[in-house]
Parts: sequence; C-alpha cells; structure tokens
Amino acid sequence: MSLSARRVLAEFVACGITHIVWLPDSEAGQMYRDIVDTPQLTLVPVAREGESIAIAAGLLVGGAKPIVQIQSTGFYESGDSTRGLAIDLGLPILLMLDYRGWKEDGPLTDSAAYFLEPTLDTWGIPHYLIVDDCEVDRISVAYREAQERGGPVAVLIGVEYE
Amino acid sequence: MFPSIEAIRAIAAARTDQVVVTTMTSIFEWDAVVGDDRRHLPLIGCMSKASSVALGVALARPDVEVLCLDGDGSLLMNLGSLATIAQAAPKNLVHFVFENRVYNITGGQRRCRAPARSTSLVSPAPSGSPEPTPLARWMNFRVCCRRSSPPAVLSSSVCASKRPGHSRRSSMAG
Repeated sequence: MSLSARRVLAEFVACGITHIVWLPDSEAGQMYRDIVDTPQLTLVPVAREGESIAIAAGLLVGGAKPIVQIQSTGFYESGDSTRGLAIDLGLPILLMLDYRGWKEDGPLTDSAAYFLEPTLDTWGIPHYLIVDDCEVDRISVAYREAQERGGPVAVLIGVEYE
Repeated sequence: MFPSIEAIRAIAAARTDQVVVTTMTSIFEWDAVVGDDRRHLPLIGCMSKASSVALGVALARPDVEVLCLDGDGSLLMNLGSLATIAQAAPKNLVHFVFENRVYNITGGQRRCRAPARSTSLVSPAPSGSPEPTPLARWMNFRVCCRRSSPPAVLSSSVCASKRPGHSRRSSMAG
C-alpha cells in the first residue's frame, strides 16, 4: 500500500477543487508542502476542525469548490456543522477523512477508527476507502456523487501520505 | 449602551451591496429591519459558525464585502475562528460582535466570562478611543467600535470596508 500526496492533489485539481480547508494530522502532515506547491489549490488552515465544514459552506455559497481535509477525530468534532450545514442544507462537500487506527487485517482497536464508518452510515454519508495510488480515482467518484446527491460524501484515507 | 436593534438599523442604513451573515438574535432583528433580502445569509441551524461561514464567503468572493453580525455567546463557542480569520486576513470581512453577555435567544442566561473580561474584544472604558483587549490584540483584530459607540460609528465601520487599505476586521458590543 502506497499513497502519494501528489497523486491525490492531482485528482483534486482534476475535479476542479479550489480550496482545501484543513487541519494537519499524522496521516496528512506530509501533504502540506505539496499543497502549498500546487497553484490551483488554496490552503485554508483552521484552528479547530469544527470550523472546517462551516468555512467550506461559505466557500460553496461564494461559488468556490472546497474540500475538507481532517482526521476522523476532527470529523467527530465537526458533528454539529456536518449535521446543521452539510446535511440539512444539502451541501456537496467532499470530506477527506484520515482514518486514524485503520488496519488492513485484524480488528480495529482505536475508537477513532471503529466508530467512524458506523457514524457515517448512521448519518447517511456515503464513504470510500483509499489506501493505494491505484484507488485515487475514487476521489473523483466521491466528488461527483456529492454533487449529484446534494450532500456530503467522505473519502477515508487509511494510510499516511508519502 | 443602546439596544442591538438600533445597531442593526445603523448597519442596515449604511450597508449597500454587502453580503450579510447573521446568527441567532441578529437573524430576527435583521429581518425586522430589512425584510426580504437576497444578500442576507441567516445561519439558523448551527450556532457559533457565523464567523466561519462569513470567512468562507469572503475568501471565495474577494470582490464582495461581507458583514458578519455575530453574538458574543456564539463567538465564544467558536473562539478559535478569530485566529483562523486573522491567519486568512481577508480584506473584505467586517466582523461585528454584539456583546450583551447573555444567551438572549434562550431567555437571557449569563454567558461564561472571566472577571477581567478577558473573553471580550474591547475594553470596558466608557469613553475615549477604542481599546482592544489582549484577546483582540493577540488575534490581530482592529477594534473599530465599542459598547458606547453611537450608531454613526457603526455606520462608518460598514463604510470603512469600502476604503482601500483599511483593516476590514472590526468588532462592536451592542
């Protein structure tokens, strides 16, 4: 399994993404320099993940095409704005969620991991798992699905970016 | 000090084509003063996030001025957004904070506050020039108005957003 930050960012660009609203974590921390070096993408750092959905909502209202890049723990922190904005207003926000504690084999032991997919399912948020470069086209699939369904769709990143 | 509805009237009178983001009490007061308004974005379903939504709109549309009419209770729930806004430094966002020190929409219960008013953006001094608190200075906010500001000063804050080179971030207490 190998996931390149540059490959993921290229997929964002192909989707027409304009802004990445983010808070770094151990999985995505290496992506920072590559984001800054991608002129098509504007980085919007947040102080806490709970702001990220709301900022993305404002960007959408203004006509931009944002994604949110945070850890699964930050998604839990963002619960009220995911509910009150992304879901209730039907905002097509792509959530790039770093899947802390994900394992290919064996049971998930980190609550940040084993609550994630059941939570997304409960909230009716479709989700896709990515752990390798050959799966990166799922980002475009998820992005299109968000536009078509009029609501958030999540891409779960199971490994650290390279 | 004057009622927040007077502040709303002053802001509405000075406002031209700015997008207005409201939350909680300011939603209803803006509706009462302005009525139907296609450039009004009321944030009903998610208390505390008006400043974040306003930032998003301001970043997406740097050609559009954005006025955020926030409450002190709401802002206190999303205080980190001040640092996020300071980092992004949008030149087209004016952030008004109505500081009534209570949760008005649930019946006027007092909000949390430190004895030294360290959670306020402005000093309690009743006269003289605006005095940012350490919090406002830390967040690099320029305070344009304060609790005793007459409506004319609020109007000038709205107009100030049109002046090149002016710091477009401000606060007030109503």
